[in-house]
Amino acid sequence: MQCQDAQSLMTAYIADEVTSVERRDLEAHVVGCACCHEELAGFRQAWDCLVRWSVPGPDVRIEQELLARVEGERVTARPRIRPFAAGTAALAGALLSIVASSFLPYERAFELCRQALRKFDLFPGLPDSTLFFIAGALYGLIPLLLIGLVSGHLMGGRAPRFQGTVTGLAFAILITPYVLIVCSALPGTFTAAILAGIGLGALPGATGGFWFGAHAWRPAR
Amino acid sequence: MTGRARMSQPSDQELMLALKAGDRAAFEALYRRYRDRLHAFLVRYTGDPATAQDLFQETFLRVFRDRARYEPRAAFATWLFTIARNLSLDSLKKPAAKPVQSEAAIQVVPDPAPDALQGLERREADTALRRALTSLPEDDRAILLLSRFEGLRYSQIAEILGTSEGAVKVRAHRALQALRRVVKA
Repeated sequence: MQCQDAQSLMTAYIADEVTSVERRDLEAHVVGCACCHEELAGFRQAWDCLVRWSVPGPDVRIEQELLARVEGERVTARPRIRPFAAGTAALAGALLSIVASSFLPYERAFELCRQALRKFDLFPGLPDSTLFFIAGALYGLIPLLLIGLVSGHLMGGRAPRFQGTVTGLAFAILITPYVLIVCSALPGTFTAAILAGIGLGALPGATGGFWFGAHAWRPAR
Repeated sequence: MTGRARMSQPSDQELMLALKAGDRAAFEALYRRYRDRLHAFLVRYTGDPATAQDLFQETFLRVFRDRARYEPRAAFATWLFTIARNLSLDSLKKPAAKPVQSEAAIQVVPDPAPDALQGLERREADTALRRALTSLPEDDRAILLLSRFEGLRYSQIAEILGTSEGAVKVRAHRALQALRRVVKA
């Protein structure tokens, strides 16, 4: 190593910013070169002198003023919607709901709901439209709850309830054409009941799913 | 700090995430963790305690207001000192800005030297060194301060200054060389 190279490395050497090879070469050079030995001592002296410049901590008054100013600021984090994430979650929820309805059509779900209520002798006089509403709610609630759990888990604590609400609304819009097509043979009131059920089931499903995914279902640190 | 104590204390990133979620106590914890370091940096960087105090408040307020923009992948110290340095540069550019090298800022802390004459000489040398430091170009001064007092790596300083690590290395050397000449004299 030449003196010029050694001297250009001295500050980095003192600041511990050299590689092990540079360190070894510089130390070997300085041992055998009186001039660079003196240079290094000079750099180190300047470096050490700096640390004697002590500064007292901030004035207590400044601290009080600052904390008072912060106190006056809005504390709650402004919810920031992530449109792409909400859209993707809504689309995934819609696909899941469609797959579920192809295995278990809405009319069959309606029948199962009616049979279950009869079996347990619950709400005997419940109109059919209400039963369609309940069946529809399950097609919104369950898929969105599952998708919300996964999405909330992946996104962490980024305004999960707000994100869930937007996802639920987007899901309701996406699923509407499909419901209108597959329920075209049903009376309009039943179709409307299914749609209302899906929409109203999706909202708590998505918000609850996102919230649980973000807060409860987190990996242990 | 013991391993157990370190484990029980939340990291800067965890505190910032808590602050993003609306936890005001996390801000106070970060403030207490960095208050002395930031204040000392600003006094040394601006060379004026009054300006430094204003910038100190502004920096922490900016941290609070911009908490939503913080990304956990960035080290909090890097983010904090970037804000402080940018605000300082803006302040120094203003025509009404107070000149660097205020006497109050480069006041020498009493030194317990055994010999009075020796102590006086050392204080004079320290004052000259600090005066030389405050007369360095802003970036060179920031590099030396962040490296010497804050213990930041050159890579972190490069991030703060928006330059390359190689440039930081060269400028740090140039700056310490200038101070060395003062010490030698």
